[in-house]
Amino acid sequence: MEAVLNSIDGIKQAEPSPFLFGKLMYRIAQQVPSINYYPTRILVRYALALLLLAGINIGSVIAVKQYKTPVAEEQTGINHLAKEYFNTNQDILWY
Amino acid sequence: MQHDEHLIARVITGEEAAFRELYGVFSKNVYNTALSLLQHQEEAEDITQEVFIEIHRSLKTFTFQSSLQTWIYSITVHTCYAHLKKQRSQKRFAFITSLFGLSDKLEHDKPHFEHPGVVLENKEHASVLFKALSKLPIPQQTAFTLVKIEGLSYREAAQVMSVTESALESLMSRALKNLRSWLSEYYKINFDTGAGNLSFWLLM
Repeated sequence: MEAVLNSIDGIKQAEPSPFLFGKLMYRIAQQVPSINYYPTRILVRYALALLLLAGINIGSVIAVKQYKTPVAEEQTGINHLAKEYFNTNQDILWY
Repeated sequence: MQHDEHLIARVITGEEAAFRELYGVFSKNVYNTALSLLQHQEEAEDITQEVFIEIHRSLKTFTFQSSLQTWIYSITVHTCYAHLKKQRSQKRFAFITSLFGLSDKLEHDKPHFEHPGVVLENKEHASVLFKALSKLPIPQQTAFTLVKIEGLSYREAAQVMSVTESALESLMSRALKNLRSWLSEYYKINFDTGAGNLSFWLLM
């Protein structure tokens, strides 16, 4: 057992592959973006996201405006009915 | 120390020759530590690359609280830890799924590892020792590797592992105890098997 435990006495350092440094430099170069790097894909995605957001906002504004008109008409209709019922010429505020 | 400072300053400015020099000085230490812990040449080379990429990225944050060698060993050990933990959990998961028949893949133990730096007459014993080392808990395996294989002092190894010297001594003591226990079991089984075979042939 002592022979096994002492079997690594005098162990020499192994050499890594001579091509390892080249592979390493290639990987480092891949990770560092170059000066003229424009992340087109990312820009396109951001642009689409902004368009979608703008589209939703514009759509909701239009929808709200359309929705408002029938309410105004309803209010006018209700006002007319209220005037007849209460026998008054004043507009009745419902809000 | 002054030389290290000058070298680091040159590497930070992006000088490739300086980084090559740094690699030349420390690559063997990194590679051999990874080789002893992972017991696989290709994986050790992958880890060496990961470590030097991290060095390249983080060198500007190095503040000389320890020596450059200690810092690099520390990155190596932590990178190997992460890799070993992932390997061991994958092995456990594969074992469990194979029990339930959920996986056809059977995780085999790695073949016996032969360290290329071991003297020829010790190769067989060293192969058994490395197998025993792979059975140790990762901190014990690391402590043994840094002290016995890489030749670091207890103080240096403790700094690398971010533990106290007494904690490192405790790790070493437990590692040796566990190694002796595993080896005695290993040789007992092999001796019994060998003696059994011999008896059979004598009877014949």
